[in-house]
Amino acid sequence: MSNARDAILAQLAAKRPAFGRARRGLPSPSMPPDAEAVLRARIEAAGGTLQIVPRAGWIERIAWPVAEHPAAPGRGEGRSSPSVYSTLPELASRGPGADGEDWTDGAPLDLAVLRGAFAVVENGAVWQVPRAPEERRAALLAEHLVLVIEGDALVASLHQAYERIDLATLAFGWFLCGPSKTADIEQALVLGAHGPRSLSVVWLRDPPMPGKGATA
Amino acid sequence: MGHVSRARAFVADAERTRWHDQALWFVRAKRDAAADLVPDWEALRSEAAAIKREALERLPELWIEFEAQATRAGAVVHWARDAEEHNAIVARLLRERGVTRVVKSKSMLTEECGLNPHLERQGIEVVDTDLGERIVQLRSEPPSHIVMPAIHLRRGEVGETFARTMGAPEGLDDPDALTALARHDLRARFLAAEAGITGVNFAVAETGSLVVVSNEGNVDLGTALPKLHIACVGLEKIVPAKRDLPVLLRLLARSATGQAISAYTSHFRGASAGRELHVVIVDNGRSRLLAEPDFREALACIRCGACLNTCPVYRRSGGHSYGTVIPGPIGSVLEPARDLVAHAELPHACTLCGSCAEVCPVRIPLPQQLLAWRGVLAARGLHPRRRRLALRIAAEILSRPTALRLVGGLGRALARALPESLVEQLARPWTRERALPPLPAASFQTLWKRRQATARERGLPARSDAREGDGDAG
Ligand code: SF4
Repeated sequence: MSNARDAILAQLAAKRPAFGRARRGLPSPSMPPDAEAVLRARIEAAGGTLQIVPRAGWIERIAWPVAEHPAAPGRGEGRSSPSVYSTLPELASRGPGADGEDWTDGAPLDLAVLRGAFAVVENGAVWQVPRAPEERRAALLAEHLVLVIEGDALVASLHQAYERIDLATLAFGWFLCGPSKTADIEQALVLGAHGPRSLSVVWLRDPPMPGKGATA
Repeated sequence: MGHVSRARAFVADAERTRWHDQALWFVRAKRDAAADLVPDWEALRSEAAAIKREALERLPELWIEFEAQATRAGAVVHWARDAEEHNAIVARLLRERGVTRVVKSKSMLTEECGLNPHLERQGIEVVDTDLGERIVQLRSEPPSHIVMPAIHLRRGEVGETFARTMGAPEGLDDPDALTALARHDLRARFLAAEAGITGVNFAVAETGSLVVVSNEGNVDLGTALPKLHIACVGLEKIVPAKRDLPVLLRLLARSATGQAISAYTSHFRGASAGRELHVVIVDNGRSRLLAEPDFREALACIRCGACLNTCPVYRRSGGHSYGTVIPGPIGSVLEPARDLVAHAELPHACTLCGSCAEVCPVRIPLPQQLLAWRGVLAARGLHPRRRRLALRIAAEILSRPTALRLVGGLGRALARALPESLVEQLARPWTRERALPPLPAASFQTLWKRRQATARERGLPARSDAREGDGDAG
């Protein structure tokens, strides 16, 4: 194998081109004055939703994508309460993956509620770093995904986003934007191609932004 | 069989051709709308062009750096000179681990290498998981577009395919229902898979990271579930550093589909506990192309597909008419480099309208390259005999004013004297889908002289920018 390696590297060195096209550098886009509106528009364009609520009691305040409230009592009590995978302490997990076992049997999961790091205003994506392999699986196997971001959670563009990401130590991380989707059949958009059918970004925002209301 | 004859099969279905043309033009329009929302779009393109060219100038150093970083993080790096070595490495990795079920996400590189048939011959089941790729796999067809693999098919055909292969009810053609069926079928295959194979959008030398994007989430299901991830990456996919990613990612999805970003943009570095990441770096002709000054900039391509969507020839002839792994303008530049004789028609599957160069996010001079290929074809005597003859005659006539006047006059006289159907017959294949314009009564020179004379009589200055009715050809 080192044979192929050396041969390829030698070829590349021997045929090195010179284009002389210098980088000029780009000014990073600045935060738009209507950041919240732009973010909402981008998330909705990607088929997702944005909910902005104060931290206190947010679990009761937001609209959940499942029929029964995810915190409602019920599993094992005859009700079809949703199975939940949650990494937030205020919402208990119940159902597949809840005890962190190596979850690959594909037992149905209704809802994954995960912490996101921040959202990118220019494209509506949320940066997310799963802390455990089953967290990433939950984000993919759940029917509905809720990403919770908090506080100073917006960056203007991908340029600022990458400034906040330490790629050199990151084993896995992803930008998530809207639910899984496809348009491979006659360009008709279908949400939920392989992964979640819905994605809701929940922004817990306590101190109101200057000049704006605190709730959505 | 060349591009024209294969295109004939596609355009025989006029309704399909019209739909295909409009669907792709709609994607082009979405690309424009997305680009318009980015204030520094043109500067962004220039920056991306510079980044990719810098990477091509520094390939050996960057790949050595990538290898060191990725290895440090626990990945295993392999090198393959050609498709055969690539396929052998992947097959060995799978065999050594007793893997028989593999899920694969979209990768033009593995298409190029013919990986699927190679693995299938060894009893390994490979399931393409991108919906469009799955559809064409079930039909035993190649993809017809690098981003939208099944764009040549109508919903009814997908329904028929699913009825035949997945037990879908006859006549089902609703995209939601068909997608739901495929989702159900593929979910089970994801869960049963023992390995996931992916392509790579960007390999980052500085950190040894791989970036892979998808909309469906199939890349992620295929790497989050199985314990073995094999990433196959062409030599041209390297970028120097993290700071290059935002530039390229801001362009990629917008250019491809008009989305601001894809649904999933995943960053992999090394292998986590109990899991394996293998990276197979593939040359397969890329280093040879690097030595071609006229064509090597094509290695900057980020496979967004924008040049296909905007191309008037691609839109109307369909991806399969190219007979190559990569169709459209970029394919017509890349594929002749592999086999000029086999793909001699492709540089002519182009009107030189320049639209591809207008949209290419990394500013590849595709029209110039296609023109350069035509020059190579001419120099090597690879044009078909009829074209050679026609070009020689044209050159003789065009270089002699008297001859031009004579032939022009003769042509106009004949066109008037002969029956219309015969004239059309003579002008084939140009008249296959269109009528000849009425030929002017006199040559351009005559019209021009007449015009100047009239102007003088009226005492007007002889203006050169005014238009005269039918003073068209000479
Ligand atoms: S040549 Fe340019 S426009 Fe065409 S696929 Fe490659 S990057 Fe996109």
